[in-house]
Amino acid sequence: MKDSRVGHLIDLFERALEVPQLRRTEFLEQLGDDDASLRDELTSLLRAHESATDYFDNLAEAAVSPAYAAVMGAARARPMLAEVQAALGNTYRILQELGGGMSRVFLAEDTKLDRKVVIKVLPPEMAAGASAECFRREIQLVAQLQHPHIVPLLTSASAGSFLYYTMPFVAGESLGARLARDGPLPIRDARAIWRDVLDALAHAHASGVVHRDIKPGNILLAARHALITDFGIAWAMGAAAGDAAETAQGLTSGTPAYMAPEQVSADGRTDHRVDIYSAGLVMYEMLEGRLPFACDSARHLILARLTRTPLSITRPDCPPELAALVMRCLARVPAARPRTVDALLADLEAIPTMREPAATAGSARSRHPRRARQRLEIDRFDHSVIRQRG
Amino acid sequence: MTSPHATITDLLRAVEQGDRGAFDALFPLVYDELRLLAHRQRGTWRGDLTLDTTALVHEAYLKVVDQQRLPAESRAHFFAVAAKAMRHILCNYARDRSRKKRGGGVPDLRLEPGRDPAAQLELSDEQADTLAALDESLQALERVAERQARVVECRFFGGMGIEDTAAVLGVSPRTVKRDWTFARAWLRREMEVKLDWLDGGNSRSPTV
Repeated sequence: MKDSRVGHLIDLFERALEVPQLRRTEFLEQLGDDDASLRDELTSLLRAHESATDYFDNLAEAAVSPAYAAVMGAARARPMLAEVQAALGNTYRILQELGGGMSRVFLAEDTKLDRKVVIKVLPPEMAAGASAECFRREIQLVAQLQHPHIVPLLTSASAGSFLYYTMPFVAGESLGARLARDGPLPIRDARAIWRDVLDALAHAHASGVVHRDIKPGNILLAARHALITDFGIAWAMGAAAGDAAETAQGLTSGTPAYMAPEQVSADGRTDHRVDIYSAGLVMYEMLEGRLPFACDSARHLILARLTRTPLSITRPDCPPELAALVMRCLARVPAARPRTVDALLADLEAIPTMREPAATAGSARSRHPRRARQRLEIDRFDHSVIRQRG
Repeated sequence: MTSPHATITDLLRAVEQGDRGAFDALFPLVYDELRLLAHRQRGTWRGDLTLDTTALVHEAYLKVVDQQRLPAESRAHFFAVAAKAMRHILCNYARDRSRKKRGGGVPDLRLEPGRDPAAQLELSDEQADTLAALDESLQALERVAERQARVVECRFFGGMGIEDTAAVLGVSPRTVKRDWTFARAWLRREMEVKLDWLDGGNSRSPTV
């Protein structure tokens, strides 16, 4: 009985909305007094309808969104900061929070050595039990890496219920921050940054470490160099997250937008070539100012790499050999990518450095006038920007 | 330990074959998965509700479901379950807050093992009350007009557009638009009453 009543109400509501506003009263009056309560209900619904759209837009913004942010942890627990500090004791003094992804990232002072370090703290549940052991093993492997373009690990330890590791503080900004500010980079800068990144990757791969989360936010620009940070952390975090089988299949956490197709589809076989793909995406973004998939939503962006051919590089001042090389890195099938980072580096270095575009009419400068004005040379980074992640 | 992933895929299959119970069994699994993902994704929040929710749900889907084994319809089922799970995650969180406040005393902000530490703060009492009221109103709407309530769930908590919602519910986009309009008017009225009452209980002068 109830259902048919509501059905009737919905029907009347929808019919009433088709009636011009001025004639609604008339419409309501025509309903007669047989069912006064139904008419009253309809009246109140129509009144509520007037403000419903605004109300719900506002609700999404004022209540649902903050709750989501709180659950997602974008708003961070102040008590936790105190607890982290308490757990760290006197060795480190936390200066400020730097943001971060899966872990919390702090800028701290190493009180004994009087230097600044970055501390990344893993959530307590990841620091528990066997997963902590996994994490430590992975971290040990990563700690072996010594390379001028890799931000080294200083220490890794547990304190209280937390697991943390420290890295030297690198003054500079992330490539992500630079891209967000400047858009596409001058070819020369992009090449220099890519070279540093590939150089670091070649070293890591030779040591048996795959990064798995190469993205602009993990590439720091300092002085004249680019440095990769968070090496192997995605992998170690995956190991710490528990499911060993899952980790072995390569289902580790990464950043969806920069993940290789085989990471996204989790087809069970991932190797060092995921880094080649992600490095290719990063270079593409440095050249074009966006990712090679035209997508209106995050979901499509993630799926597009499985289904679509990446858009080609259209920038006229990009040497065609360089464009071709980047596109090879973006091959959906790992076997179609450069076999190793070493091979990729060799190909990159074989491409002539300087080649001015024949015509200036279609150059990057005229395509991106605002950005071109803002562009900075690689050795003039803004050192006042303190940011570890983009 | 068997991976939950196989189970979710199997359950989606069962739903595909019309097994209503499988849909209910799916819920806690998807719920856990989303919570875990939300947890891992801490800090990647960009402030766009639709985009963030969608990305989260889709990431859950990509990680959890073996796509090769499933027809497109199963995707729709997954998203329906995920939207419901998101609603519960958010509303339970809000209710938790409300309850603590009403229980009197200082909200407990200590870390509890197994609880997301970041999920323990920064929602005002008013926001928490509003969300709790939304959830209760949705429950009331579910009882009288289930499909309309589903539309709100998909659009509001699942971050879905009109087309996606239509696919998930197996109705036309036109129907989704109509349901969406009715549901919002209905909820608007319902929430007005609820929040008024909450407000009146605390601060309104008796003469009003």
